[in-house]
Amino acid sequence: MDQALASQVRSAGRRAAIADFAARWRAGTPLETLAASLDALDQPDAGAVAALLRPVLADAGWVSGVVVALIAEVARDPLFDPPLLPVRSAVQAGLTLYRGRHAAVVLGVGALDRLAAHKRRGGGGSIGFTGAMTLIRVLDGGGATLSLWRGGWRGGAPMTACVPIGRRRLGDGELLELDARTSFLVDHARRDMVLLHATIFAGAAPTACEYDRATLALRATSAASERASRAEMLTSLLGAIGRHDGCAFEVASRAPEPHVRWHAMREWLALDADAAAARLAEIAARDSDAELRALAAETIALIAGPVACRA
Amino acid sequence: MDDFDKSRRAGLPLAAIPALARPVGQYGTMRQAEVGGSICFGIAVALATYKA
Repeated sequence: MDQALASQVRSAGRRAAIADFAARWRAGTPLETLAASLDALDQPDAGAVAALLRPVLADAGWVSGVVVALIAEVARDPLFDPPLLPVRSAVQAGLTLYRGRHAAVVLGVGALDRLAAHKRRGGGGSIGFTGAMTLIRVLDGGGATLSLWRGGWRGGAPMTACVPIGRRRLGDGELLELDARTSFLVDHARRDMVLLHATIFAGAAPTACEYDRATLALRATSAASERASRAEMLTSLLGAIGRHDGCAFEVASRAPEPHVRWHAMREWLALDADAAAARLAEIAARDSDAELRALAAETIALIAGPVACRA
Repeated sequence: MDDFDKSRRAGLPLAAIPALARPVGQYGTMRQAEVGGSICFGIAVALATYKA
């Protein structure tokens, strides 16, 4: 960035204005009350979180006030940098209005030109299921037509194929509720879409799932949270540097997600099979995931047999 | 970073420990070629710029 421009962006006056905005923008919105209510929940299910989010999204007039305030700041200073976490995808540009342990609320615009460009690049594509329940207040539906799909986790495992469950118009002002096994595609739109989108982390499926658009077959799965991937990476790091932190491996081996539990166990067993033995036996006997029980039993048999150990 | 633990006890070869039948990718690696869903419109799997 040009030095003169950089110094303007970082000027004390501009930083003070951003700090002032950060301190006052929530006034007149229900977000502080929402945050307090959500933070008070202890291990809630998705329904309990949705019950607190629903009225905030249903009566969304407060969003206009936030947008008006942001516009006023940018009109006053074109280099104003909103103190809100931006969210960008191939089709959406938005700002995070709330993010807590159990949920996040994003105000986003799906620009028609981005939608069209993304579709042109798609060439077949895929249908994604995040595994999280979502609430969407449609501030402007863009005249969009959606196709709805059922997929993700069912009966303790990802569905091997997703299925279409209907098409519908996206109505202006409606509150759309999608459970963790429902996703949608935008088949058609006439103008930009403006959505107030709440993602509920509580009760999310162990993984996100991606299905091939043409065959509807399961194509891939991925971790459904940063926390899950971070646990995997950190246990791999501990293994790579030879850190015998039994407590860390034990905790990671009890993660909600089967893939995180087994990743931690593999790293722990590779580092110190003796220390991991008790937990391995517990998984073989009592883990809620059938595949993990089988893998643990297979590993116990492996240990009991002749095996080369690391020196 | 501390030196490696020179007194590492014996472990199993990682490659010999059975793995899940279907590998699970890192968070944020879903590819949404079609347009729609929470992957495109939600906070999940969206490129976010961290503000220091």
